Amino acid sequence: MSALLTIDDLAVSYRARRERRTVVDGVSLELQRGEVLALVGESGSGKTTIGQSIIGLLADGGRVERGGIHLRLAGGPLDLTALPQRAMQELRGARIALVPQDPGTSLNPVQTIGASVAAPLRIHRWGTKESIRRRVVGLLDRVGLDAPERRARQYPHELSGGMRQRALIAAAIALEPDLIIADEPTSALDVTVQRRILDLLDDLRAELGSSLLLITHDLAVAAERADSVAVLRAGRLEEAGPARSVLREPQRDYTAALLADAPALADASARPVRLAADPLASLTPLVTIDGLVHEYGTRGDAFRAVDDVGLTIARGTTHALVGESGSGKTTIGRALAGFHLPTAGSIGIGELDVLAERGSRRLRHAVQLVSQNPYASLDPRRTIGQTIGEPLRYLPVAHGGERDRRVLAQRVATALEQVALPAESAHRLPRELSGGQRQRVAIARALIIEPEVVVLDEAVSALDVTVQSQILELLERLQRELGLTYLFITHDLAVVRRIADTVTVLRRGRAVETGTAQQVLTDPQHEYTQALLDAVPAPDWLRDARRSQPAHASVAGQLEVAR
Amino acid sequence: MSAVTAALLPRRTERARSRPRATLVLAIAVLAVSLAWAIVPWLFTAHDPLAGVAADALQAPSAAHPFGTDATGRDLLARVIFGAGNSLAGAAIAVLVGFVAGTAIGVLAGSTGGIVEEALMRVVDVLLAIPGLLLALSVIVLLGFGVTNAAIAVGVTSIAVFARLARSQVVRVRRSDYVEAAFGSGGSFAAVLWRHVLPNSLGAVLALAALQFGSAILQISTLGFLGYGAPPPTPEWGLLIAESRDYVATAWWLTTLPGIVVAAVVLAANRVAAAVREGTA
Amino acid sequence: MPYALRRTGQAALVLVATFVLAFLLLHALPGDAIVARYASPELGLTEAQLDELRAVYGTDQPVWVQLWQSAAGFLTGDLGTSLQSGAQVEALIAAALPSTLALASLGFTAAVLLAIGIAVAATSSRAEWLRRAFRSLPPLFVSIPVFWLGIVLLQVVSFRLGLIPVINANPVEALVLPVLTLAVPIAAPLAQVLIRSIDDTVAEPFVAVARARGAGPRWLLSKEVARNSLLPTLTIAGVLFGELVAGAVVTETVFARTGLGRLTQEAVATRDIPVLQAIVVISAVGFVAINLAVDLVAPVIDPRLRKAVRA
Repeated sequence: MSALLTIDDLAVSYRARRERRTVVDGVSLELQRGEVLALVGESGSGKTTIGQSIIGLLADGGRVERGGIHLRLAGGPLDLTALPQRAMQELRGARIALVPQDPGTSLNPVQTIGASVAAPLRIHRWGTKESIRRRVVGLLDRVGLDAPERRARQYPHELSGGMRQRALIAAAIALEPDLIIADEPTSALDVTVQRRILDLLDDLRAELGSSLLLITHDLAVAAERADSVAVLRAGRLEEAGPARSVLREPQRDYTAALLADAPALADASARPVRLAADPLASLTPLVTIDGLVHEYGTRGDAFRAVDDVGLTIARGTTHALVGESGSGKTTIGRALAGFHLPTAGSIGIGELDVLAERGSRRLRHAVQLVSQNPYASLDPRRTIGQTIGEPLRYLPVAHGGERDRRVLAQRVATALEQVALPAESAHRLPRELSGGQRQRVAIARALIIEPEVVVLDEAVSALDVTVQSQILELLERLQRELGLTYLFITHDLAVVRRIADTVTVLRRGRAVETGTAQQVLTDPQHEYTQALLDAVPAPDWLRDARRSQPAHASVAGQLEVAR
Repeated sequence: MSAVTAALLPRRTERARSRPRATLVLAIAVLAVSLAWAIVPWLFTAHDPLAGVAADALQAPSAAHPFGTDATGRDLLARVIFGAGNSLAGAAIAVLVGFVAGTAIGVLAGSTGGIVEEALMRVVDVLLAIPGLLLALSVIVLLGFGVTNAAIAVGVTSIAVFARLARSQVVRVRRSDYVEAAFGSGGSFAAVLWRHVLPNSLGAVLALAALQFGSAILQISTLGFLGYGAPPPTPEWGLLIAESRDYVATAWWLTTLPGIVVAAVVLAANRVAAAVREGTA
Repeated sequence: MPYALRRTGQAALVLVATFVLAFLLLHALPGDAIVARYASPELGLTEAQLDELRAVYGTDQPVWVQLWQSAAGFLTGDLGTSLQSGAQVEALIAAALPSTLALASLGFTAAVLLAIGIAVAATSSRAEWLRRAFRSLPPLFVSIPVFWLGIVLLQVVSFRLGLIPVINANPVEALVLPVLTLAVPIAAPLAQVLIRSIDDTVAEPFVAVARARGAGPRWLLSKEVARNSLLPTLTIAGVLFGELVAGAVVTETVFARTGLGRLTQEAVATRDIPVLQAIVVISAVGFVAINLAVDLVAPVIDPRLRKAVRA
């Protein structure tokens, strides 16, 4: 049987400032009918551009330089790169469909869900008005939206992210396409939702006999869902083949490095246990949060973002706050850092009463916050050196503050060295730095006044896996060297496994489970924790392998996470 | 947004691609010439803008009088050149009034918040509720006619726009992560305002000031045309065109040429302002 | 409180404040209006006669009493007496209004058509040079002095080409050039905002998704872009109203038409405070009413705003 989609020596270039830059170079791929091919790579690897080339919608300035994209339909093979615009329009949405990345912005905000789902049917003149209406309701029902008649009349903003993605999938499968291109279809969604959406895509693909091109940065998703995997790097194909062999016995160093850095698949023999048998009881904790309540809004329609949460963190350890969006994890972290006053409860760092000390110098010495977005947390107009040195300029000289320029420059240089940035970056502006480098700067700024506790709010979530891994390493080293205590806020259980000693799992503002990372990840007590763990993508063969091949350390490690 | 969906979008070619620099160079040249006219007008013409030669009245453009002459035989080009000073100085005053007062109100409102902000922004609402020209006319009735008063009046009409923009910029920057981080590092309100909020919010306000310059030239000339600016025989661009109205049928150059000069200078100012905005964005 | 009611209350508050500001601004004149108007030597009025006039116009009262009387007058439709002609201001305005309304409504309609034409041509012409050409029109229109445009039109169309008679033109002919003149300064900002919001909408992911569904240019413009671009455009309605007022003053002066604009121009020239105050307040009412209407209509166009309305 011949492949549905054959990409042959494809090269794509973009025009950037008068010169052409090749972003995809000599990539050849095959996607069999009814199968799933995962295109995996970090940002800038060209995986997106390949998807665009197939659907014939390269961004402005893009051009296919050479090679062919052949789609073998019932009527005979077509070379998509040579097809006239009008013929491509006929194919798009009908034979080739797209499931976009961000369901939040991919639906027209002033159109009803029904109208959006009907769009491909109307564009391709499918049936009468009434038959389209019935088909839309049927499709919404098929993708698992409850009360489809009512959903069809609602607007995008009235639906959750997962529901919107379901609606977008309904529109994509409306004309039973031969090829579905799913472009990071779950990156914007919580893990438990992610799992259900991927399941739905799987079911529909099987039902329709379509092929799925899954574009993702997440190796675990690829491993779990794909028949074959293609790893891309800087526009070139590193490695391609059956998912199992590529991910278990990578032929290329790059693939191996990606696998090692991907926390979900890493050799995750947990971090060495550094605590006594029952750490929660045996040590006097440094951080104590008790009965924390935070309400937003006023009296009548107050919303409880945090509902009676308590936790403790021992000195020199890392406590992870895990939860999906809306779980209240960020609110707790910000309360600990003194950024806002909770409605009720108490927070202590050693002898210090955080709530009473909000805004004081002593609190600054006790706790600092590193926030999620390394692009927004640095002033674009100030040099890295100015940014890192700023906390020292605010401190009174008697308490470690510094006014002398030369001494200040020296302290900044030391801080840069600490986070492994070259000394000359002190004179750079944020825009000249990569995301990972910026996050290092943010960490240096937090550490320069030598706090005891650092709150890390999704501090690695916006970064590519390799960079993520480097930052986690840095954080671990700093903790060892400086005896820091971390409150690590994340949605990513795989990261928790790598860095945390103890964990609190949050759901809708409540702590559902607390314990050591080992306990919580391997033997979850609460069903929500179990659901969260189940939702972490992991391939079947890894699960199977555990029984047959216990020798694989990576497999065993992964399994504990995945269970 | 990184993936296919984002890149599928036709990028904003017309805006993203830098337009031919040639128009910007031309615009700067036009502004430079008009500025030179304003500062040293006598270097550009041998004629007297005020005293005419009666025998030369209403002559069409020629080598001796490139813009022709008016009803009293004055050289029109000389009057346009000498008029640049009034127009440009007036526009500068107008922009300064609007920028200083508006930015002060906006920064105060945006950085303090609460009841001060509420009160200030309601005042701005009121200023905005009176159509610009009528507000300017009211100020003129209050202050009296004249070039400077007309300039101040035009400036007053732009206070509200400056205030709104300044406030929204300050509020945007105040909500940014880096301002929060600065407070977290122990920065005082004043220090954070000075180091982070002002530098990052005034860029857009300065761009607006640049844009207002062209519009101020236009508005001042409108007031001059209506007869509320400089008294005759002062050479002022709006007044020049107003005086030409009686000769519409016979002396086309009297209206056409000064108008083209005004439009060219305003167009050039707006082009430069657009470049400033691209630069500060 | 229902959104509509709260929003209307806000609008009323702004109006009251505007009234007070306009009153104070115009009554803060050095000396008083009577002196400014009647104290010139050639009239030769005695101090006693001036006092009499003050009593007639009520300017001998303290400011706050005058404010109160003026406000009460506005609420009952008594806008005061013109210092210049001695006529009732409301009568002057009623006489001038129809002509200005005809000019303004036609000018506005022409501007909207012109702006939509420019915006569509500037965003969806096939040839890039054509798109660029249309894109450069609004900045050009913004830079042209309106009064100059009117005179040049008059010069070319009436005197050179003789298409429209200068004297004894019929009412329709007399409107053509003023409407054209008025349309240009209003079309310019409208087209600018339209082009920008079409650009912004086209850059939204949902438009890309529609393209990936096989939508052609016509579908994209009519189904995906049009309604989303409308809202940002509506928000400048108030600004356009201001342009319309300014345009009316200039256009009526250039073409020597009677109307509110002309009345305004004369009131300023003669410092006729009651007339100017009435025009300012009426314009503010227009501005506030338009913005109120936009805010009340916006939720109909954008369903996302309905939630806020209910809350």
